[in-house]
Amino acid sequence: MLLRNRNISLLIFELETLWSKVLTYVMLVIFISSTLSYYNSSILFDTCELCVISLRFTEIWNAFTSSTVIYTVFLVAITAVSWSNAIDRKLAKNILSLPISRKVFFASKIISIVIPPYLTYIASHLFSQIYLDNFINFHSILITVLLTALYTLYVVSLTTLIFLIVKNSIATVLLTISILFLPLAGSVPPEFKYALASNCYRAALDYVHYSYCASAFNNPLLVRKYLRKANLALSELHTSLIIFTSVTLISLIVSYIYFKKIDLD
Amino acid sequence: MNYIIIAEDLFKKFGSIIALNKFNAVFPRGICGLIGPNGSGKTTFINILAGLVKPDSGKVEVLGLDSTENSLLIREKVGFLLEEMYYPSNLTVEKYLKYVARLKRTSFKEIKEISREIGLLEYFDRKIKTLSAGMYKMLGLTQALAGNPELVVLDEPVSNLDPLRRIRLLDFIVKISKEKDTSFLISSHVLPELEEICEWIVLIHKGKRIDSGTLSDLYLKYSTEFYEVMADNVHVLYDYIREHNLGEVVEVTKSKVKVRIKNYSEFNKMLASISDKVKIFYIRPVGGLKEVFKNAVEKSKY
Repeated sequence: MLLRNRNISLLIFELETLWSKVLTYVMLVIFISSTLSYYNSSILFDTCELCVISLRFTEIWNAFTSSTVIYTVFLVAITAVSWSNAIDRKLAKNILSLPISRKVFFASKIISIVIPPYLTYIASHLFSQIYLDNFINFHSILITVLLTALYTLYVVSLTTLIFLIVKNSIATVLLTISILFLPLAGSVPPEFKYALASNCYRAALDYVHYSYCASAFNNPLLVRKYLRKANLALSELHTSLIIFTSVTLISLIVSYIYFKKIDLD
Repeated sequence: MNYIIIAEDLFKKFGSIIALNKFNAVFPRGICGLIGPNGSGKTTFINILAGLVKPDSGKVEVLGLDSTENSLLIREKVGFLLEEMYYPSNLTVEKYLKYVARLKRTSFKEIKEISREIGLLEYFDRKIKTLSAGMYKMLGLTQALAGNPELVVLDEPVSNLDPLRRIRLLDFIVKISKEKDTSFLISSHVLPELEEICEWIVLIHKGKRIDSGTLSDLYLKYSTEFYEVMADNVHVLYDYIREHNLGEVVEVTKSKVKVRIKNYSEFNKMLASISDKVKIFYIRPVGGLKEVFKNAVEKSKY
């Protein structure tokens, strides 16, 4: 029944076309190995329970920050390849000669790029957190799952926009990676750091961590101290979220308008 | 006349290159041909029909629907085989066509039947990347014909095909056109094949329509005085031409008579009157459509 739906069929077609067996294996190996190596399976012996939790939060942040680099490069490359197949190699022309609207094609293309890497990446992190670290914190899981979804869309939409303007896959990869990692350069203003995934993950995990700490103490001074830190992290998280959401939305809208008007000759 | 495609003042420019320059043309139901050299604007016109390219000005109606406003609806009713098509190379032919069936909301059984008729069925378990250029074309053709479309637009359908497949394909087009009342618009520069099946021809050059009409109209207008007649009994034909002084017989071969004639219509009419004695397969100018096109281009310059 579901397969008879034209949009679902197109999405499955796009998934099967892009994600060949080899590419899927490569993705699994890269993501799993890059994620597992950052988690520590050893049992932490510390008298202070809060210190152990703090270490676990730092570990999760470390794992996300480090693996995000590989994740970002992979996403940029796969998005550029997918759009290159569609536009340069005329797969879009073929599909759009069938009764498929550009809106449906655009949406299925974006979803087919986003879903497999996102699910693999987030699953490997959650597996590591739960089975290797033996650390289950519902808030940190929820916040990293949502943040990764937003970051994935952010990278894919920005790459799509750049590809549609540049129309060259290699130039797109180089340009997008330069833009995404620009905030890491020393000479850029400090405000640019809000556009970094690592900063966003840190702010989110700090917020969860400090909120947890604040609830764990009875001492009003300590509670106030941790709440202040949590609020600071929350305001940083807000700024990052606004940047990621607005860039994602603008990129998606502009890309779609551009794709709708483009001549597929 | 009932027209399936009406193009009015179509203008399209790519950078500094004018692809279509106030192109006006009509295509009636049946099998129509769009003839022109490379770069004359044929593919741009077909891309506009499919809604893949938007014209800078002018409009085109396909089956009574505006191509820019109702492009999706047009693609529901029209099958397209475009000149350059890319298929996912890692899929098998069967798997790809199963997707086509779902996307065109038609049965896979129907697609299998079309594939059998055009000789693609035996390649069903092959990966698309292993197909030859000819079979690649057949795959596109199966896709275009799937879903019982009212109109099928084929851009260079016979290029890359061996002679046997060309004949098989053209026979299939004629059969489908008659059996299912499907109209065809075929763009090609392989003229002899078009000559055999097209009922209406549009000549295009440098983005403009030079002329259009039925084959006999165009022969009458642009051909030279030399014609060749293919018949089952050339001797009876030869005697008849000489007896009635229809023209000067220049050459006689096993199946053809080459004649220099004065009046094409009269010649045509006279030959029709002896259909009980001789079976005439065709009467066409020496050089065929190629000659017609050449003369039409020459004439359009003045």
